[in-house]
Amino acid sequence: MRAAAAVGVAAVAFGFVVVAQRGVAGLFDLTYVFVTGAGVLALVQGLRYANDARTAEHRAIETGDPEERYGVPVPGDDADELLSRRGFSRASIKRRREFHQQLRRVAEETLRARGDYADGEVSAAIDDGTWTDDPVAAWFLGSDVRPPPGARLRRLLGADAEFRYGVVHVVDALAAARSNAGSVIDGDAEGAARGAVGGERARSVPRYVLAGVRRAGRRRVAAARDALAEVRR
Amino acid sequence: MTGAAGGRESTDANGRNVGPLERIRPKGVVPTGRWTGMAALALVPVGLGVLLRHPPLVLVGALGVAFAAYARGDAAPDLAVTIERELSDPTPDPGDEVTVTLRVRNEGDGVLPDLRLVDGVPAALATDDPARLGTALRPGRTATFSYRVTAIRGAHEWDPVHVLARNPSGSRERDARVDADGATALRCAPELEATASLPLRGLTTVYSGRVPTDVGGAGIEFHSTREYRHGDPAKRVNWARYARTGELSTLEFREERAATVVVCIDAREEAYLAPDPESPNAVERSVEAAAQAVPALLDSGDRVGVAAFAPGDCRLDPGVGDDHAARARELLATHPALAPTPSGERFLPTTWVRRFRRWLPADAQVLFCTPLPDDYAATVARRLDAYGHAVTVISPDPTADDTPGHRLAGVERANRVSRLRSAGIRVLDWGEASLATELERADARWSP
Repeated sequence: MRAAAAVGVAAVAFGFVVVAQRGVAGLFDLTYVFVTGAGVLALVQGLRYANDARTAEHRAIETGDPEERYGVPVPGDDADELLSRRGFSRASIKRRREFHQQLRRVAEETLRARGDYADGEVSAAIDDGTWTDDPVAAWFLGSDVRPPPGARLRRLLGADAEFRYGVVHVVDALAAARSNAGSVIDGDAEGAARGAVGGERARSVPRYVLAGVRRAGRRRVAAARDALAEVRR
Repeated sequence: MTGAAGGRESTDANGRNVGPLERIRPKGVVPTGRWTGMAALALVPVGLGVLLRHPPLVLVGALGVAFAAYARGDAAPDLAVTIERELSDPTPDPGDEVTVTLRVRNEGDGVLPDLRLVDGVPAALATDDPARLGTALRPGRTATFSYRVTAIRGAHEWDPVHVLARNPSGSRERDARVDADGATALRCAPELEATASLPLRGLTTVYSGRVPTDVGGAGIEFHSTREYRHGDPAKRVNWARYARTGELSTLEFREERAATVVVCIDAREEAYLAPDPESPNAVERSVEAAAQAVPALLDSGDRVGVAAFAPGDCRLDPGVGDDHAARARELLATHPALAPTPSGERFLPTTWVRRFRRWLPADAQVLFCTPLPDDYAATVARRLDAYGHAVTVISPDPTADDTPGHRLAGVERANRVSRLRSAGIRVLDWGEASLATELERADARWSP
């Protein structure tokens, strides 16, 4: 670049000298070779400028959108952002692990609020997956629950797909558990009565067995659905 | 107000790193790069003309030289404009449409061939009309444009007008922020309207009011009977018992006393949440709840104070009377800590709680308006309740259930509500129904 600039400066200086001393121009013979050289030089420079124009950044000042109202976030946007990460921007293992722990804490608190389990039993129920009818949610938060076929299939697609699949199921299971729990602990008399009936049902042995059988049936159906999850799409 | 080059205009080149050439150019002038490569139009035909021995092509090159010279020689226009803003009503009621009119006048000597103005609409106000104008303006001429905004609670300050001026070739543009003369603020203070009576907890003052206490005396609700004492009013003698047994006894009723209530609004940045872009955010709903609670409490003879759990010192000492109601209205409407948009100031919640406790009268109840966005809000409620200030939480629900993340946030918030209720704190989970409806439901649930 410096050499090119030096040549340019020298050429311009020579031009000025020629203006003052016409005789100096006689040093160069305006032969075919010289004229052709000048033409080639002009063409090369022109192409260089054209190339600069092609790659140049066209700038304009951004004016923004002041007409739009200030937007506030929706609670849970950060979790959705974590779940939507794919490809190169996928969530780090650490963030996924922290989110998994957060889900487990929420699950424990929700189950405690539902009142089906004593404080010491909540953790065990989550570990063995008996807290929910959803096999995917049971596996995702449990410690010794076999992964359902749907989860195994997604593991093949990548850790993010598997993580997303598990989280969605856990959140749905928690929302369902929460909707059962709300009225019991929220001091609503009617809801408390419903909750008391629910508690009675949980404690009644024949009904408990029936509920277990029903739950196992639902798990099988859900497992079959999971196995065909890809096909259904 | 005149905006001139080198005056008030922005020197911001959209956050880009500036190179040495850009550092020496005039402030506020940005080369657009639109004519970059024009020299190629001159050199390529000349080169081809020479190589092909074709003189007309060399002449075409002269045309390119003219274009390149035009782009290089065209300077950015001098920006000497005055702008005046006018509001159809600077103090509207909430929901009113306000027409904003801007007049821009070219005070300079040269033509502004491409002038663009974008008004600095306050962040909390929305408009469906474009708040911008693109025009050419000759010296001494004026252009006008207007748009409408819908007023919402608060004191809203307009930002300076963003002005862009380009030269005719568009090779350079000048960027400036110009303060407008005339109206720059809109103040919208809603009337305080009492809602259904607010169920309070038992912590009261010694003054008579409407909160039933566990103390026997004059009142409405039966409390107990006691042995007749000389001087007891005849209307409180238990005549039925006297007829049955011949013994005189006196009826005692629950004494009704006034309470001191501090309405505390959670206006931290974390509390600015909404289930969708169209809905008012949780802080706006909390202020709305406070604006209904304060007059209801004042009407029933209670002493009412206001505070914001937010950056800035937003407090109104408990008091009664019309003047106090006017002060409360002013504070709820225009205090920056309760603005519809977050202030962005640094906030130390632990320090705030310590100061708030020192300020809070010992016999004050707390009506805490918070969407319970995090565990800390629940902790504050529990801590104040533990210190003996009976806490009632009014919690506008900002959650949505359209995505897994939103549903999870809803579950977490519901768990916080449950935790508070199991700690004995009254929580009004305010959904989509009106506050009055929710309060009536809550009153039925909370009544002993």
